[in-house]
Amino acid sequence: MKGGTHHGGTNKSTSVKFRMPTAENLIPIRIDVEYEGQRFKDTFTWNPNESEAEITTFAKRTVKDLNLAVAFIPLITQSIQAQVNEFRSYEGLDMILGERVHCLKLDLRVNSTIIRDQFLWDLGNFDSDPEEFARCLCKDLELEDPEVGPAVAFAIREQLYELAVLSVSSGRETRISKKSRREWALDFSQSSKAVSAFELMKRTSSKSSAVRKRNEWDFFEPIVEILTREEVEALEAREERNARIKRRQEDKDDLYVNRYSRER
Amino acid sequence: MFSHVGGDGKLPFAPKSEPDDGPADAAAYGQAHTSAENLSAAGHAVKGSDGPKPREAFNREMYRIPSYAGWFSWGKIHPIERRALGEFFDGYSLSKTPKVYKEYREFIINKYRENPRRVLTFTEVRKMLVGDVNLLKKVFDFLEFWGLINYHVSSENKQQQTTTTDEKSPEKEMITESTDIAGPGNNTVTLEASPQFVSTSVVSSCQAGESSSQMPLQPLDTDQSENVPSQTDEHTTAAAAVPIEAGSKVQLPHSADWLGNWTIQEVLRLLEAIGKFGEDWNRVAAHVGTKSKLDCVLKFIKLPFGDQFNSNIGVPHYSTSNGGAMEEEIPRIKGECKDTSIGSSHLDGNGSHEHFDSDEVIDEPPLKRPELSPFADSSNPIFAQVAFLSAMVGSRVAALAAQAAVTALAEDDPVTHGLHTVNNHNQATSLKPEDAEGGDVHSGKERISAVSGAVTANAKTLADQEERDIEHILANMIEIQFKKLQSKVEHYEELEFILEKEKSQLEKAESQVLGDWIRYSHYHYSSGPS
Repeated sequence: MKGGTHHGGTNKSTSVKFRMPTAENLIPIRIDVEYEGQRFKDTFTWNPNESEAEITTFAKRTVKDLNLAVAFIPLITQSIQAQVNEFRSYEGLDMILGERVHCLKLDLRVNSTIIRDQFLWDLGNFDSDPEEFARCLCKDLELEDPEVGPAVAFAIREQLYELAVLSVSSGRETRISKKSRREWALDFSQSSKAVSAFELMKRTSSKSSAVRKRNEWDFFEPIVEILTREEVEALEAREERNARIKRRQEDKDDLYVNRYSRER
Repeated sequence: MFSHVGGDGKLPFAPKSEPDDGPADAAAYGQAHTSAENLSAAGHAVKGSDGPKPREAFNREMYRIPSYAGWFSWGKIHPIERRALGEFFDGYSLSKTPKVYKEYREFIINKYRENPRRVLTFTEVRKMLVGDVNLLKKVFDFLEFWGLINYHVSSENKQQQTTTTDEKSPEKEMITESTDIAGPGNNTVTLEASPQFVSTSVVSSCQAGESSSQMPLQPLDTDQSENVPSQTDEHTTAAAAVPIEAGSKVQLPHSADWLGNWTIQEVLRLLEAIGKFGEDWNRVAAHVGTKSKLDCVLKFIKLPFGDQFNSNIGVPHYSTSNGGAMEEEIPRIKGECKDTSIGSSHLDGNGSHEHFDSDEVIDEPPLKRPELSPFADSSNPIFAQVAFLSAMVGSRVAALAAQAAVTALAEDDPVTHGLHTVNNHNQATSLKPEDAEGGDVHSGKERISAVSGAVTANAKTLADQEERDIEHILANMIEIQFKKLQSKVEHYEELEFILEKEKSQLEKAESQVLGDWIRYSHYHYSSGPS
């Protein structure tokens, strides 16, 4: 989807249409739907160029594989469709090229594995590959759970997507969903923190070095925790409670907002 | 192969302390080295004020790198590096400069050499370097590919090397490995198998292009004991060929590893179940019995031929010159294969058509499809491919394939269609193809020869036709040339004629002028002196 032109072969194309800044243009999809007390949460990457029929097929298959109620099919389909459409709505905008290094963070729990990590990622590097990074991470850390890799890749993709949207829509008013704002606690000031790696390499002694200061090494190292079954259960119970409280809080907020907007 | 330092300046050795070219941030490397001496060596620009020190004072360690990485030089950047990691050298970015590249490179290599025995992981290194992790990974992969880091030689070689070096004086030198000349790869044992593997992949990629996998074929014999060894052999072959092709070093799986805790019976049941139920993992797990749904899925995707299934989505999309009749045959052929290989006889031939729309098709049927199309084309190089393929697979599969091919050729005759359908439902093994050549062919060889006869005949007629076409065209061309020449000649004749006429006119004019002149001068003369 590159819409740039080449100038005399010395410059790269000046602009690129909005897309995921990774080697493969796959968008992160998060599903969180509820029906009659059953809650289905899932995350995966999706190719936004797939046809709508594919979405329905996928939803049907998911419901069948996980033995969910049939009513979930339209819910899932709608959710995927909405997110794909949102991506589509950005597609006409131009992305800035150039090196923009962000500090991506990982803080997730997959079954019994907790990972916390920080690393620098260049948003302008369109050859980046979250899946490869995740795969390498799991291999190096010798993680056995095969679900960790995709979860890490997804977390990276999600952050990249948010950052890309922010960078492209700074002029445009964006409605980031309430859920995302609350749950992910994304630091919006991150967009101003996009620097070139050159600046990151600068040191106080006015010399630059590509090697990080020793005291920062631990900061950028991945921390992995493997929980026992009891810990996992306890954690999950706590998360459920928190989620319920939050939901109640959100409902109250919505009511409040609606009341006020109606009164106007 | 020993390279002496004094000899050529390009020796890639590494002093234990920091290199003294490059940034002066030696302390930044954090290398806890006691030697504070200012090292210099041949091949490096001496930056320090000291002159070259005697060799005995050098505290150099020996590091092994493979011989194909002999171009590496500590202080310089080689064109290979420029090409592979172009981002550092195109000047677009302040943070991607050759200097930065050198820093990355030297840091990673030094880090590895702190403890050459262990495998340096990327995750360990990336926390210590500033920069985009994707870029760092690229540098890391590059160094690993060329054996400059994580180069672990097999133990016999190691012993040989260590014995020779122990005898040396404290001064040790870089040895470049000459063992793995074939390329980055650890295990030379499987190299013989790999050319075969690679050529299979070449062959299969030349085919209809439907199969994206490059796995060798795995006939599923009903004989269970054969199954595991052949699969493991080919799995290790595949795994060995991957490093050779991809250039990364992977540990070869032991023959038991890929099975995990799955017994052969369980694997067979799994495959049976998949053949029967398709992607319905609930029923598959129920059929296997001892394994959970998740285990079944994981096992299935780990199986060596799993790749082939990804490419088989949309099986009936198969355009050949034989038309739609081919689609009919594919499920029938598959049905028959199931009969022979799995041993379950209650497959519905028609129902299997929908069934094969899903992803799980046992690898034999996909094998048939690429083989059918060559027969439809019936041209010579493809025939060689077929011969190669039939040599690769077992005789049974080749026989079935030949039978399928014969069916394809005979599809013009609607009678044979019905016969085949009936046959497939009744018996699996004794199939009588009634093709144009006639005769009853039972054994695989005879079938193959019958098929080859048909193919040859077809080829001959095509060749004859081609020849005739060529002659015709040639005659046309010659005729046209003649016509061209003829028209040219006519043209020239016309020109000649015109010129002759002009000549005669000019002569006339000339004589006229002459006459006038004579008269005029005569008149002038006669009336002259007066």
